[in-house]
Amino acid sequence: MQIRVSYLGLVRNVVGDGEETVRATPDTTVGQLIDLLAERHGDALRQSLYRRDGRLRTFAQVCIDDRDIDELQGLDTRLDAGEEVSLVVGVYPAEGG
Amino acid sequence: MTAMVETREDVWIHSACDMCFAACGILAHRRDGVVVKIEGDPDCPASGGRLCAKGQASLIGLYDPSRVTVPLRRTNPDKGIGVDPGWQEISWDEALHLLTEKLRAVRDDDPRKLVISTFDGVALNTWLRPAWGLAFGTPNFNWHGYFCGQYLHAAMYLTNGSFHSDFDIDHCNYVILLGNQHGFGAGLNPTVMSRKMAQARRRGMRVVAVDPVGTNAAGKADEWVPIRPGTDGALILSMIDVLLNERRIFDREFIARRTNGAYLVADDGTYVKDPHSGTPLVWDERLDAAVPFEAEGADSVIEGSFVVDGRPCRPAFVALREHVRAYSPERAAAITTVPAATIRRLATEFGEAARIGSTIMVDGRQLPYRPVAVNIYRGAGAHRHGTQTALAVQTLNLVVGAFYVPGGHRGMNVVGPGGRWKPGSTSEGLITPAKEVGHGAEFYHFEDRPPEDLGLSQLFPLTTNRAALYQINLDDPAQFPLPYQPEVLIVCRRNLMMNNVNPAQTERMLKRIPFIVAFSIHLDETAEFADLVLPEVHSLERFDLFPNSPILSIAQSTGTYYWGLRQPVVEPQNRYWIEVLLEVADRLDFLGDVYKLLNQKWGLVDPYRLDPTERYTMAELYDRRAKSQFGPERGLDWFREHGYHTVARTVDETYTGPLIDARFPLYYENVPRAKEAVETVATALGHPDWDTSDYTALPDWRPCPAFEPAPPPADGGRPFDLFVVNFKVPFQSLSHTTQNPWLTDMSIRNPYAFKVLVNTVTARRAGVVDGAHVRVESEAGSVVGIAKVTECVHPEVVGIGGVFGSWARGKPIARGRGVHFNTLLPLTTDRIDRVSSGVDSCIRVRITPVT
Repeated sequence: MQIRVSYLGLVRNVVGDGEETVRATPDTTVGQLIDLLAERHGDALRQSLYRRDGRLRTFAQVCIDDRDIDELQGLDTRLDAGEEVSLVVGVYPAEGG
Repeated sequence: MTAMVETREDVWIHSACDMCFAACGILAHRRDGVVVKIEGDPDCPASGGRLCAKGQASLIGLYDPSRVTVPLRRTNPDKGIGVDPGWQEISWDEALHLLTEKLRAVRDDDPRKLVISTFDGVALNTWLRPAWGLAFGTPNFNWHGYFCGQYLHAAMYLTNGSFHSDFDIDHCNYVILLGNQHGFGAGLNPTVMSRKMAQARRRGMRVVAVDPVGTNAAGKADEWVPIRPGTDGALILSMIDVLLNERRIFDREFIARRTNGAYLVADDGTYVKDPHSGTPLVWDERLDAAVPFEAEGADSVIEGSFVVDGRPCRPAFVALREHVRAYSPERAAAITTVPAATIRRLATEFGEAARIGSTIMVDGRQLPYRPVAVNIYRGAGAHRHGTQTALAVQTLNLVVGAFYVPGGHRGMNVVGPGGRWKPGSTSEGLITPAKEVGHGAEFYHFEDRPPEDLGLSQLFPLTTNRAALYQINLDDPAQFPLPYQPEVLIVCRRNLMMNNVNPAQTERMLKRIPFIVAFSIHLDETAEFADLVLPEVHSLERFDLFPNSPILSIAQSTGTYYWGLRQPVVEPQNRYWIEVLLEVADRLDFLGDVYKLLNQKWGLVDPYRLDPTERYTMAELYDRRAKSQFGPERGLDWFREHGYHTVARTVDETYTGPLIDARFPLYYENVPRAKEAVETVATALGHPDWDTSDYTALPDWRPCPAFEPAPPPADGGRPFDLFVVNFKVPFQSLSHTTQNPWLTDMSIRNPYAFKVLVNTVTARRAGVVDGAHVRVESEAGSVVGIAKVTECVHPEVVGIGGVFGSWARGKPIARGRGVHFNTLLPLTTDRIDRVSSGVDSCIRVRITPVT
């Protein structure tokens, strides 16, 4: 199946492109997709998204069709054909003055 | 003979004020195209039909002849304070081309070289942070103010899970305003709170104002407690000592069930955990054994000492109780100048007023009733150890159980309507902000990698506002090596020269930035350093849709959730800076990414989701957002006509304790863990000796650098023997309001606003005379003002109004009026809170009569 991937924020700087389409096997999870992308783009992508312990960084967000995977099954969420995955890095909270 | 002119237009228009962050709803009266009056909008829960002087005066700013009306390009390459930029008028086409090409070059090279500085909260939270800045690819769009809430917001996120500090003014009977004026024309929803404060006083609420200056609030309080600047934390810790150790007044049940006070702590300060699940343990009195904190029916104790698996341990509450023994009232009196008897009395009054064990019926719900609160905003924490002070304050609110219950402290808008958002919980059961606030406000996991943003996020993991680091890094790039150097600064509604620190230091920093773009209403002190100035709309000319969100400043006391609209009340003269940036995004081919992010961050649903290949006007974007949330009947046109969509809060949505599953931290076991990460990052950045002593599990009071023995002044003159603080008058907000002629008129008539406040005894000793000029000098700078000799300031303190002393030629009303406080402040890493990065405004000065 084909999955469209958008790179937004600081992760775009390390990938060098805004989006791409990747071919994945049915039932691929978000985590597996990111592994696939890391093979393609190298460790910089992995480091941009993950902490050392393998969890997503606090400044990173992954969405499937604009829905945060935190509301789904996280990195274990299974993907369906035609879905768009957004990888966003640089999600800062509100700060005030 | 006078000719009669027929009025052809006479309308009232809903909009929202922008003279401070409160964004009160207004009605603008327009006759024949001219705004003639502004009043509070009775449909707006944030103003309730009332409006302060600033809001009413805003209309005159619309017609200020000194407004910037055309784009300007600098012709003089030299920059500096007082240097004529040699402005050349250019067309919008030329200006946009210049801006676009500068940004194209930066984005193609390294997008992180773009820096954005603004205090335009709506633009920032609606457009820049969630979408434009991210889509551009820079992390450097979070350069806000240095003082007002830097330590506050992070401390609140950590303790109450929300952006702000508030208290239930409808039921509170005893409030301590620690360096703030909540309810006296300042703070959250000030027009609503001022009325509610008056009502509360009528029913007998006691107000204690703790402040070095006899402020507007102190003048109206039941008691003003003058305090030495930077010592509020010692006062609060001493009050906790009195409550826990002398009077034994504390809410045992609340501490056991709603905080981590029962969690067992080993001698090394870490939790004692279940070896299998890693869950913190508590001591169950019923079983006489340690059980996981979440164990069903556990009767956890908060006092005693135990041994678990051979490890001696005690409840975190005991660690706190023993910790505060170091803050006896006698010791605190020597630190704060507040007499020990006063500290004991305040603590006792506070504890007794908490009515621990009592309940109250509110709309048919029986709830705990703790009608006391200590409230903070800027004043208490704008110090080297500000976070510690904030955590001490929250500890005082917590030990008496005055947290999210009627009468007590609470966070702001912490639970959304119908549960749309609510705080989260760590694996240890402790509160975290709702994820809608942003993933980065999660203070229990830390990264030890080198930072890539000017705010040095990994070096300051427990805060959210790292603004001062931007200036420190831009001023001295070698101090914390980053993989790039900024090349373009965009600044809007943020006067870096006026509102930061010593202007000479800021001047040096700005001169290092190759290209500065200022979106300006006036040619203010910062615009004078710009290479390109673009005329910005007045707030009465712009569109902003105010979403109800966890970070919009809506106090529960308004009784509602609401969504509102700021709309142009006259035809805009200029272009809203966000509209310009969206056009630039289109020219640089990343507008589609902006739309993708807006779809996510605004939660747009079909058929209102944005198509990245399409182009939308601002009105169309807001229309889609409104309809996506409220349905096709409530688009932009509905808001233009009606102004506000409101939803009444239920009892639980007002007193949110029952809706919050997580516990509140009384013991910060996570903070020493942050310390380890910070030390690793600091070492990698070349600072192996970085001071992390404030990363402690329990708050302490530590002296600011101003308390250390000072070296003799360089000029060999008298030592700096006084402190200086700034204070707020309710009819001014930020430096831009000082250009308003009506507010200036009020400031002239006010006996304090433009003056230098000197205590009567101090003035006599220094030879300073009321009404005569006085020089105030610190290690950083020197200012001259007119002395106001008064009893309304601590004898060790000089007081200066916070926003005055403009010098820009483009602000003819403000120029030369009042005293510029920030001239006296230096900025170094030694003078910031090493946890929040808030700037220490505690500085020693000396005063000299000027003849």
